[in-house]
Amino acid sequence: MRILKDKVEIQTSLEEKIKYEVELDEEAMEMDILREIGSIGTGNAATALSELVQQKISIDVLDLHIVPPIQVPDILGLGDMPATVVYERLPGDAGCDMLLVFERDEVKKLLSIMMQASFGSEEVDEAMEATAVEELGNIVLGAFLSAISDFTGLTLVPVPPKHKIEIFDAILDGFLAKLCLQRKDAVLFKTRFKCGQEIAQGMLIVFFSEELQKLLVQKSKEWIKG
Amino acid sequence: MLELNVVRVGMSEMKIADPPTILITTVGSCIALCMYARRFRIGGMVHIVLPTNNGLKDEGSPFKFADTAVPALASALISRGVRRGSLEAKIAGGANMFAMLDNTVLNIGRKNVAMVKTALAREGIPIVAEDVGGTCGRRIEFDVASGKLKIITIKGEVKIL
Repeated sequence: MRILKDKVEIQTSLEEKIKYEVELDEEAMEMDILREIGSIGTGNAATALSELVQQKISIDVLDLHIVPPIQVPDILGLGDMPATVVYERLPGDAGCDMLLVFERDEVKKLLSIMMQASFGSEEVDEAMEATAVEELGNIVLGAFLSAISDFTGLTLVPVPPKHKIEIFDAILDGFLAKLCLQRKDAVLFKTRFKCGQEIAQGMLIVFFSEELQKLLVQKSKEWIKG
Repeated sequence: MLELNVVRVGMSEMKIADPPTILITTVGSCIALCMYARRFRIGGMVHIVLPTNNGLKDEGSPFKFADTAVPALASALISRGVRRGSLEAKIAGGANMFAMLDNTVLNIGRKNVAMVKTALAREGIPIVAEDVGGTCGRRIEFDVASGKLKIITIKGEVKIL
């Protein structure tokens, strides 16, 4: 009787272990898929940016984090940095928030290169800066979206981006407050662009909604299975 | 002379400090609630993210929500020997950071301000100064010794409350 009880216990714990490992595998696979989707999108965005400024763009960091929204400021670590942020919110349940972040002083250098490449003049006044920075966001964020659309077969229609010059953590808290309302953990995709040798570094941050994350993973799995 | 401590208060965090300490935080639609008792030379700050946790799956820290953060900060100060009647509050934040986006975020700032005020009234703690609303983020430095709040915006504007 005792042996039978032990056997049942061992079997139960083995089943639990297998179930746990399967869950872990699923989780790891989901992380891999999201990371892959992120890198496909970022690669396309970097190419678009590279064409726009006619300079080589390298991708410096490629990170995926799944953490409670309130921990995001620590992960990004930009704090009180004065920043130019171009943001785009895909509306609806299967939406996402995308932020393209540049240090305030560095974005001017990037826009000068952009203007030089397009119009042969480096002059950027304030009115032009607003238009140019939103156009920059339009191209880079649009390229990110179109790449993940192509990969997953989902229709993700971009909306015109907006921009804001602000203390970075202050602009971030609005996005995070909304995320706290919607989900327990933020799925944060973060990458850093580097243009040329000393030119502007930028960061692309994407927060997926729960629904979009599910769809992206599901479509990718279908694609993998062929 | 004692060395001045500078302590950052992150999202959903509460910090209580004795002088000489400056508590700092940065808020957009969130609220920095600063509470102090001049006579007792002690103060605290909480960085509130949302008005209430009603209807949310994630309960999180009590300091995340206005309705629970206000009594929690008051109790923490009272447990350090402060008399309730000597507590005063100053609030800053609750901006509408994304005028062009949907109403969800717009309302968070405004709702945060309203809920903090309601909760303070419920606790019987007077608001002696406030800098709320608008469309700009704020970096806040709270001097626990004097109870003064220094507020700085991206445009370089500085306010002392």
